[in-house]
Amino acid sequence: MRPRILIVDDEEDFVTALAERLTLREYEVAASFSGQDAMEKVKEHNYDIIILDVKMPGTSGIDVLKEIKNTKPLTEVIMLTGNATVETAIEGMKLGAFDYLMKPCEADDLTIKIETAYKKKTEHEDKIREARIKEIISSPRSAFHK
Amino acid sequence: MAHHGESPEYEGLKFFGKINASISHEIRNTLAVINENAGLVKDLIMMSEKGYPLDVTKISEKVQKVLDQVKRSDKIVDNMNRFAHSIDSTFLNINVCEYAEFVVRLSERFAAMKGVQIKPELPADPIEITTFPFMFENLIFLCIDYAIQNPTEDNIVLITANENESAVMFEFKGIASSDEAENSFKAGSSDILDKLGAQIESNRDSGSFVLEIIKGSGHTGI
Repeated sequence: MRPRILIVDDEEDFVTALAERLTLREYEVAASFSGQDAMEKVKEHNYDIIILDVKMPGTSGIDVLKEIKNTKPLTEVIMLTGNATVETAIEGMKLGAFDYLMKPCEADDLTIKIETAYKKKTEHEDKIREARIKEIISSPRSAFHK
Repeated sequence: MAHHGESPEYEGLKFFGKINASISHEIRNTLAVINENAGLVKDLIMMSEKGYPLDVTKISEKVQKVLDQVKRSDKIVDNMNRFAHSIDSTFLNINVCEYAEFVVRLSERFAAMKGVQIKPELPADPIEITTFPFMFENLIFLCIDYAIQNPTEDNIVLITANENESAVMFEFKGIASSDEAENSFKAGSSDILDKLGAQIESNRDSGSFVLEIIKGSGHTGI
């Protein structure tokens, strides 16, 4: 199964072109042009990876990141920054973002980060699944199922 | 916002840095759009070499996006260049409406980040004063910055201008400020106001303030 990706940036022509490029690489891609819209999409859908611009009008990338980590903590976020300094992106990583890239970025660099983030997410999900199975097996109620 | 006691020179450096950071951010955005659209064209061509049909309409559409962004970048660089040259003359006769319009353009990204719209409704006929252009731009920027940080609910800041024999007046409408924000704004801009022979009168009831610049009273240089 390929990662489901949401790209969030107020630069529509950037999002559209990047979405097409990632689609050609056989990812399942959705687009969002504002922080507010992204937060609604995140509530309604399950994305594996979110590519998120740090600076957007209205709801900022940092606010969207906090909301994502609050509602879908397993979703991995790659921050995009147009600033030469990376303070905001690092702040994002402290808040749980997987990594960051500076604009403009190479498609290959982004693809590597997507794959690494997806691997981390699936490993995390596997661990949670295993822990649940162990919990079910070791709980007294499991005797009922025997 | 500056704190009281910061010199106009330091305030000027902060203004210069803030505008440059904003412009470079905008350029990065245009480069990112160019990069993705050019990259997409490259992807499509590579796919056609492997036997996939080449969608010429799509290629043409993406090339047009690149050309549009080059035009956008050109305007951004023009603004950057004009802004950089505003430091060249320390005493110049300028049309303040034209300069204020320019500062509005430089401030649009800051306003957009706050979800605020700046509407300059400035007279077409020139209003001229002799002043230090860079410091005048700095003062207008401080006024706009204060306005976009403290907008009324409709998030629209209106700027008008007029003159009489002795002074030029800019009115900023659509302000919903606290005492603290207003005092901080006035304290932060006090040195530049003194240098330019200007003063600020606020009218909290009407949600506005007037920047009055007395003709012929501004200092020269930094």
